[in-house]
Amino acid sequence: MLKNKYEYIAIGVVAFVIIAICVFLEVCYPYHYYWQEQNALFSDIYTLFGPYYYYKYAGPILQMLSFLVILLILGYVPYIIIRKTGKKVLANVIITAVILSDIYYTYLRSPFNEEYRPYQYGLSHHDFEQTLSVETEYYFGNYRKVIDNAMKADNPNIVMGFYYNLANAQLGLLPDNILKYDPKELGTLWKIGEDTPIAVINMMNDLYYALGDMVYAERAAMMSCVFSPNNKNMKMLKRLAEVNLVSADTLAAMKYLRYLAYTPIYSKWAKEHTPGKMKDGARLSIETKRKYINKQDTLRLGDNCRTILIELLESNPDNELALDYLLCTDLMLKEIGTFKDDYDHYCMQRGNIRLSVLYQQALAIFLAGTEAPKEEWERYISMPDVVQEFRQYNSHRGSEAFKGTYWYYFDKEDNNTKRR
Amino acid sequence: MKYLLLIITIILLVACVEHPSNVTKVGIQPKIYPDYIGVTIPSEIAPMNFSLEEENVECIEVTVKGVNGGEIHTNGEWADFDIEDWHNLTRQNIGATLKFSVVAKIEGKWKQYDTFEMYVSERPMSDYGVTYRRIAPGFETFSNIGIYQRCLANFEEYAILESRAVDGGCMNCHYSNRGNPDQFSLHIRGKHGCTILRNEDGDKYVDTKTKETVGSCTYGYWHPGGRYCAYSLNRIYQNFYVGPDKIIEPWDAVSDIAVLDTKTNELIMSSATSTKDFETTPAFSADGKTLYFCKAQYRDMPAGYDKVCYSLCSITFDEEHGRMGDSVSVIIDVEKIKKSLSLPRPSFDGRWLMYCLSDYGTTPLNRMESDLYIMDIQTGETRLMDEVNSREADAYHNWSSGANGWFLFGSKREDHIYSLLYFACVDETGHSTKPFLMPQRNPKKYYRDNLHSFNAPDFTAKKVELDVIQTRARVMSESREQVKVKH
Repeated sequence: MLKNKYEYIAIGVVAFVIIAICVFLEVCYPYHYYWQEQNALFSDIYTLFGPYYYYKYAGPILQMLSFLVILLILGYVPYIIIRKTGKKVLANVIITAVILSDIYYTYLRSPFNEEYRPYQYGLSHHDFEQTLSVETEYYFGNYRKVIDNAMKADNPNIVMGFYYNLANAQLGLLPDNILKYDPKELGTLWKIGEDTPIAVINMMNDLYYALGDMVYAERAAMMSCVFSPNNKNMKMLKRLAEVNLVSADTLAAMKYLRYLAYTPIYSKWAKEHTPGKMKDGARLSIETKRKYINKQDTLRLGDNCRTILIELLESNPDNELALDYLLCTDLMLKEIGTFKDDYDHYCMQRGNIRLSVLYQQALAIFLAGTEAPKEEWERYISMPDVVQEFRQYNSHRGSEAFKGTYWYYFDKEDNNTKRR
Repeated sequence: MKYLLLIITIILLVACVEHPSNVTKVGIQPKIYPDYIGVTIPSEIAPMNFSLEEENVECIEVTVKGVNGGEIHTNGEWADFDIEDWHNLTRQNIGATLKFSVVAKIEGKWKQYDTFEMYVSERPMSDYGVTYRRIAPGFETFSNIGIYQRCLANFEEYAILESRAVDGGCMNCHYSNRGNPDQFSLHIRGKHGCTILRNEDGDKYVDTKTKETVGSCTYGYWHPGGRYCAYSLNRIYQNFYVGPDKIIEPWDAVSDIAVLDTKTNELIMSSATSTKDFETTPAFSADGKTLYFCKAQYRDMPAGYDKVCYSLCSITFDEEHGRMGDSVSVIIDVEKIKKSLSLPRPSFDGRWLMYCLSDYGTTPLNRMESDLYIMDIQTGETRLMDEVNSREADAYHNWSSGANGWFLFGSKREDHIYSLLYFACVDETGHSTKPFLMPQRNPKKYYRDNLHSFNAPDFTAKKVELDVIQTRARVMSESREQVKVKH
């Protein structure tokens, strides 16, 4: 047993140091994107401060500091007990329990624990961080950074492939870059169902929001909350607010804005987007998005994304993002005939020519396959190099020298755009 | 140290209490949330706590005076009345008015508003509380849903059964017999699907699917005698809308009406209620001799989704012999006005029948234009309940078991998405009082944070008792009593 209060103070200092190390490990060991992503892509984590998204460093620090304060209070109790009653054994037990509980708490949230969240998704800690970095940069609209981070990834996965393509599409570069990355994941063949992984469901709202389909963006955001019990995913609530602002459903938008206004991270955003008090930038962004929404008043039969993309294009022929996704989906499925029909309908007939090497290469396959006359080649192929390269490819069909062309993909690569 | 603790305690205790000084009269009534101004309440209801609608309120002080005497105060971030004091006041003022005086500190200045009133009804609301399903709004699936009950005299909510208890099985509505929880029906879907039937013989776990019927028992309504329970047998699908104004449209591919004899587990069918047309949402009259239901002409679905309009029909029911009649009477033919009638609910005194009308379809809460109507059963006169309806969907009404005019309904008037519960009372002329939102301890926070719809609500005369462990064991055992069709 300890002899005087200085020894207890010494124990307190040691405990404090241990706790400080725990805090350091808690905050610094996991890469910072992990913390940015609380309640976002993978998580339904609640912090001690409620369902707050994107604290960056502040979240875990505040969380750990609160834990620390609680522990210090708990640790102070035995000191008082000792002074008043002399129950030293009990005091030591409590101090030990306090220290062990903090170590255990830190262990639970560390990569040394098999239940550590990234492992549940089959990802290493490092891959998890890289995956989150791609999603997070997309969230902040840093599309170039999304592409860079995805390109730098050691083990690209479907999340990275999905956001790589979505970021490229936002920059109008989808057809130029889709063949440069594996997995070639567009997300257009994913469906929301009971067997869909939660990470996939969480991504789908981004795709449909970008495309302009507010009904499915809302559905995906809602499903993201529903499929993860007790999840009040702030990012999804923000998306629900956005969707309803774009759809001009003020009542519904206000429901989510009121909620968001009480979160430290989103309160500013919520105030800037409140109808009647909207800032110019926010209004412009919402109104721009509103131009692309589908206004048809009918039921959708099935949740086939092709139907959705066609409806969006019928509703707004200028929706180039939807057009690229439609054409690229055709190409990734190697459905050249469907691609040609879509290209004719949405590009040629509407005078909206999408000049891209990818589309030109795909058209060359169709024209060669149908033994099209010279006039047809001249009508469709505007890039003379494509004809020349196509001849070269055909004389070395399947050669790896042509890797990165659609011809090589068509002949050699697996179609890894899967239905999920 | 002890002085420090004392000081902290005192600071915490007094932090939220401020007393008005330099008060300015603003000459208008306060805008409060929920809007309880001018509502009529039963004396048994929980305290009608409220906040000011404004966001920058630092403190409010509310004094409530009863015309028949009594006075209570509250002071804090919102008006949070003591339950016992509140009930003493309401009981003292049955049939009289409560006057609310509100003083609020906003941006450092105290403002005094004009008083507003609530009226304490002479009609008692004899029910213990309400039951409802809490579910994320209609987006085709569920995760963590449950059937709950809420005591109306206070703010206590209890789970009757949550999906987690039965391995994620989705739960359908909880139907009791006129609010009597000793007779109820509760359907669980999914892998361990079954219908739990409770009556005087105890609990039964039945499988209502048969080869001879188009679907399993879906929407139910008990016969007042307690032996029979009418169901619609539906095969339900749903599709999303393309445009942004409407979200999802559930529709029936086929639907019939049958009455389940809970003694013999036999489904009583009638050729008149099992036609090619769509029949759904049955409800027995107060005397049990008539079975109301909705019927629409058959359409190819889902192509004809916006042309399915349900009329109000009825068929006789012979309790003694357990038999439905042979012919159907059309009570309200809505084909002519191109509207669709849903959810007929006769009052338990046999005087009124409440229903809702929307443009088409069978799920009025999904239809923004859905409004409540009331029909005088004796005269057949029917009227739109303007005093109750909103611009958003109003539906899923049910009568209080005490046959005292009180009713509840669901409405999406708050935010177009989440259905919340409202209460009102119909007088002798069929006119209703102003509806009020179900009270909560801190309603502004509760409803702001709420991300569930209060679905299929009903009154319950007393607390529903369901042993969750036993229920789970029996649901998971998959031992079922098989329902068969009576020939």
